Amino acid sequence: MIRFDNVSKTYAGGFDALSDITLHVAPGEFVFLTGHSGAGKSSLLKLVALVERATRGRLVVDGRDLGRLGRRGVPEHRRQIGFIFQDHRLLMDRTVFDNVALPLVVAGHPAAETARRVRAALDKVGLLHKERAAPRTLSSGEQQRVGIARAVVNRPKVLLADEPTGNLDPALGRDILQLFAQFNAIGVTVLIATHDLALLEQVPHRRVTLHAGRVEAGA
Amino acid sequence: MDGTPAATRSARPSRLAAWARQHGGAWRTCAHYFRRDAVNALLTVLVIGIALALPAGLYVIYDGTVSAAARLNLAPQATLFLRGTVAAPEGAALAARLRADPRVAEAVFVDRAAALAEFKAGSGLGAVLDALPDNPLPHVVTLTLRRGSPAERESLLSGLRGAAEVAETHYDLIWIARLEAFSALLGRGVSGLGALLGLGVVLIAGNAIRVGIERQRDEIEVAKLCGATDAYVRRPFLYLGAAFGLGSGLTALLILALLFGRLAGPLGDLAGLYGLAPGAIGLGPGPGAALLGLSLTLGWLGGWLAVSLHLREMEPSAR
Repeated sequence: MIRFDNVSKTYAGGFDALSDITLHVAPGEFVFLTGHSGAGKSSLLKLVALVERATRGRLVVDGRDLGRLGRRGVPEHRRQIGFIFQDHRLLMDRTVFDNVALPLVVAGHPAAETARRVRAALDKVGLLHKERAAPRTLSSGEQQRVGIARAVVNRPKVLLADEPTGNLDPALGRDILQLFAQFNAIGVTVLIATHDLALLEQVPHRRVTLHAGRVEAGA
Repeated sequence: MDGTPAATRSARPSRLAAWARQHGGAWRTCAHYFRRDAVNALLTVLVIGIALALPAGLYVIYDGTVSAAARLNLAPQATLFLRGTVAAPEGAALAARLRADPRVAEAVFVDRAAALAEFKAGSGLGAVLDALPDNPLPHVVTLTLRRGSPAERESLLSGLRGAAEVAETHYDLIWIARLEAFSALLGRGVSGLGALLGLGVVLIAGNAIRVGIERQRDEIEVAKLCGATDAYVRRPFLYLGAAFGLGSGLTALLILALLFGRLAGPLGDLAGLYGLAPGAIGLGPGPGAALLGLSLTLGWLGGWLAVSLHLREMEPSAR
């Protein structure tokens, strides 16, 4: 589903965030991406979501060679991917419903279908009763679950999460992990960047360790 | 996720329906931006409205002057005094010849005897005139010229000055030339000022929208991460620009209506002094609609400019 072949990412100014990454994630796989902060975990996820572009090498996601994808192809690619942020990046002046609906609205889905899918996604993360709430009024665990609902509402093939439990206590972190496991069980490929060791101990999934922009273990 | 495996994703929405829904959504987003910053939005509309009212008001004055000048009998006139040797039929023939000239609107032969009688009746100097041995007045042809270029008029009159029948020509064309030069200047001034303020409108609207874009930066970045196209991001701001423009056009019309409403009394008096019926002054429906269309276009252009300049910076990777 995701294939890195000798991919490097050098930022303006010459900083090498990723060097010569070769990594293959199979469809339906659940992979943890670990390493210290600054090891390149976030950069790797950004390449997959086309937030950044690789400097060298070849990156193929769901059969699409991202190096050959023009600017106009980027939105369509992102619609196939659910992205979850550590700071969840919810729109604070919109309701929970509107936040979750955003990926469907930008794709132009009919209102009735949007409402049905948004409610299904909110139900899945246990927040159906909060659809009219403002994100500000939710706890941080709830906000993160809204972020997850938004990431999955478009039924993406790939879920990317950057430190999704970073701000949560261990019990809430476990709940979030459970959610990812459920999506994985229905065929979604999941790639989670985390340095939360307690989280990693709980489940036996494959781990890829990055160190200073290189794959150290798990490739 | 409603439990459907990712592999059986529903078909993408049809292009046309999606496009229509996105436009509807863009209006809602536009309304959201407007409400979020309503005070600034209204101030922007007011500023642009005043900027538009200025050239539009000048246009009204220009248009009023030109149409009043047309209603006044401003056709240039000249008087030809014929030589004493010219007999009445020859004078009448000259007038008939001149009537056929395309540069001449009207030529009237005034017989010297008739002129004297008229002068006696009108001046009250009957007794003095009776004492004169001869009629001192010459035959006269009065000419009304068509409004052509000053050069045309000059060539006609210099031709007449050389004519055998004509002793002297009397005409006053300089004030006509002055009036024409003045209206040309006013017209140029209105279009120059209009163009300048039009540019100002684009920049004011563009700047207001740039501020709006900055305020929506988070929202734009998140929407882009969720797969929003550039067109999707651009649309509400174009609509916002158009709304600024339309609102400003309406404001300008309101300002003009109030202004010329206050001026109606004095202008009516002035028109009366020139013997004109006090016509309605203000922007008519045609120019009014043109102003609205123009202001809408300028606002839209401002939005387009702002978005084009800032959209690239709004990539999620830019932070």
